[in-house]
Amino acid sequence: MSGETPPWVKGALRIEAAVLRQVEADALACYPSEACGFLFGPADDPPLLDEMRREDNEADKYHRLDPETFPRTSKMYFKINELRAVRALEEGAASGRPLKVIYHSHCDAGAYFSQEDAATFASGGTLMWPCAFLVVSVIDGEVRDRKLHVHVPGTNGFRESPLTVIE
Amino acid sequence: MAITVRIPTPLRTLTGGADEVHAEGATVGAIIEQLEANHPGIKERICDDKGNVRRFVNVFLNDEDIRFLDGLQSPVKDGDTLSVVPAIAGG
Repeated sequence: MSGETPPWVKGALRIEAAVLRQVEADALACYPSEACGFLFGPADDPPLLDEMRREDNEADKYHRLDPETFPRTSKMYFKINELRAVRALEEGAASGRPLKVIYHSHCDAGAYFSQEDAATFASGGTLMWPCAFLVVSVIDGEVRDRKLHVHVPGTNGFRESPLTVIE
Repeated sequence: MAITVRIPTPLRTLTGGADEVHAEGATVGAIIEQLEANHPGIKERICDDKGNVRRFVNVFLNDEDIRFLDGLQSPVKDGDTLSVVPAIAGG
């Protein structure tokens, strides 16, 4: 992970409509469990998101191993293999196709950034991964909303940011 | 056993900016103790008051999360890589 803050961390991103449809299809396919994955785009167009890659939600694997530390199942929690994320980040940076956004879905809940999300992705005012975050809301088996969230520097808080869908 | 330890960006303030350091020990726990001796403050960022790996931190020995091995008692061997990685999780 680089020590520099990349521009997409600040939000105001653009996503190709076909890519957003793929993300939403993943959210629907995983429902009533949470979906998760990465969004990539060209380094020379920082706001653009033009590729998605779904990741396995490992929440149930961790819950089975240690339900005290990981009390939630995949219906209310997502967990990505972090070593795969490190490699995706490094490979993306090396190839000029950086990982810009981590997405996940909420099942029968809104597209807000939860307290659990914030507690994981920021600590001591520091953003833990150099990314923005997309949350997709699926309610009763239908995608109802999606929102982009970005870190507020120097805090452990996050705020909504515009996400423009382009054809 | 001499191994490489990969340090995530948020903890590099404790390693003088280094993204990798080297440490010796027979187990993951011993490696973390040596990390603490060389880079004071790093252990409390990895482990909680009970000495367990924090929920928002993952420690991988090569490709496996040590929670699925023997935790901090997991044995290490020369040439292994230990990766400390912040969690990607929520809900």
